[in-house]
Amino acid sequence: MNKPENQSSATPPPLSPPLKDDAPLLSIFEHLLKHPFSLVDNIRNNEKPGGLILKLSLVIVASLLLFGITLGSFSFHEQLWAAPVKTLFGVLFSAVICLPSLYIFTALTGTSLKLIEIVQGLASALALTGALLLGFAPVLWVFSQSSESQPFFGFLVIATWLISVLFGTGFLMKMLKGSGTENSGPVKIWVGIFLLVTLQMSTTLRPFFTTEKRFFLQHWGEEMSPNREEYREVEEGR
Amino acid sequence: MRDELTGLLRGAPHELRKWLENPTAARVRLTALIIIVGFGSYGLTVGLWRAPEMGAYVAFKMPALIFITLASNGLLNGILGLLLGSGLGFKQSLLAQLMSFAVAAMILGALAPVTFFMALNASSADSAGATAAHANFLVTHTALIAFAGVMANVHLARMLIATTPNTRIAGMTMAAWIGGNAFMGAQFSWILRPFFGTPTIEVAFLRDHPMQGTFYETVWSSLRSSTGDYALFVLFIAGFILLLLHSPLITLLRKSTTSKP
Repeated sequence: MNKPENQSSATPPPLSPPLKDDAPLLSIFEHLLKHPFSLVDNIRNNEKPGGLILKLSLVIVASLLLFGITLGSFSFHEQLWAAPVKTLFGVLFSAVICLPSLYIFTALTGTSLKLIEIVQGLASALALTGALLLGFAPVLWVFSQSSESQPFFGFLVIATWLISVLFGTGFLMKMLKGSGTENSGPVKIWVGIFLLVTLQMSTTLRPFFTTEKRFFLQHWGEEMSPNREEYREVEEGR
Repeated sequence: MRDELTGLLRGAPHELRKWLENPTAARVRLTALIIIVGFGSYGLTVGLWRAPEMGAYVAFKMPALIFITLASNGLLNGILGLLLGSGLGFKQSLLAQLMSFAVAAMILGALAPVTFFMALNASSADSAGATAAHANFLVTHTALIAFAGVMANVHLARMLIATTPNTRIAGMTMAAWIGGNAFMGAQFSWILRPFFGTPTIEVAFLRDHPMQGTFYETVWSSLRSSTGDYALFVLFIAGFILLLLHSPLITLLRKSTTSKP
């Protein structure tokens, strides 16, 4: 638990127990949190990548559905089932459309990671993001029941999403480091792109019915504005 | 047990490390018991001035506030602790926070006889001087709770400095935990209000519609009414000052922790 002060970046990552190819879901989850480098090692040498992706997908689906239910509990009614479905669909679709750019941006770092390894890394990053969102769920639930202010709740959801994605995608940086490259700049840019895509997705899939296309900055800016009602009246008047 | 508690209060790095390296169920139980007794007895004296039943309510609500806050943030704090590289597992992070709250509980519990005496000597809640007495009560209890909170966080910082790989990780873990607990604690204290018992409002366990509204919306609307268009600027400055204070505090604590044998 205790290590010398001012550990340099050149210090190799700490030794951690190896993860077997057929490890149960709980063990994978534990490695994701406690021993990420061991999971990276497993991804690089795994002979059955499908098994790992399937198990991580279970974590992603369960956590995003539960997080979505928490979001839906703000307005109840049809949002109780619509919000989880939209959250799950939105995040998975964002991941799929961002996968090609992740592959290219990862290659730009000079790493030797293969596509299947990057897919596993992305699944791990999303599972980690999901786990964090699950951790935030009780916090959001309390505010979904106490507040009627959509700007306030929207702000909390966005903040939660940003924190979770930044920590979750941290796994990709660890994967790069584990593959022997120190250059993570291009992947950091990709994280920014992924965040923009998910924010736009939240606007595209927003719960209120509208056929109007809109840029996410305009949407969230208006939702969080004190003059939100005025914007809404203008929108309804169109 | 007394030696363990003395060690916890003293906050010597080797003693704090001993606790966290062996997070037994007995230690979790002990810290939980201290929180119930310490916050409970202090809470009794907080509500007692308004009415005896208010005292009983607050004696229950104060420890409940701590446990509800820790329960709602438990998973998140555990994950953040691991992701920030503290090396502390879920059980260890829970015990670390319980230990910190136990320090506050011991301080407040030790002050309970003083505040009890204060409640007995203040003008009663139905007298002409009730408003002034209530205001004095508010200021005194806020100062005492703030003092206990600062001491508890100093212990938490020492604990993290002694057990995590470096001070940067200790600082980030502490900021994440305190930030989360303060954010949720403020909202839960809003839900569980009243604590001090305003003389003009009837004694009750909870206010009508306790889940209606949030602490932050109330603070924001107060801030807007007092500062007008500068509310966001004032909030930004307050956040910036907190951020500036955080780093030197950790450095100071690191020096004091490493200089001790």
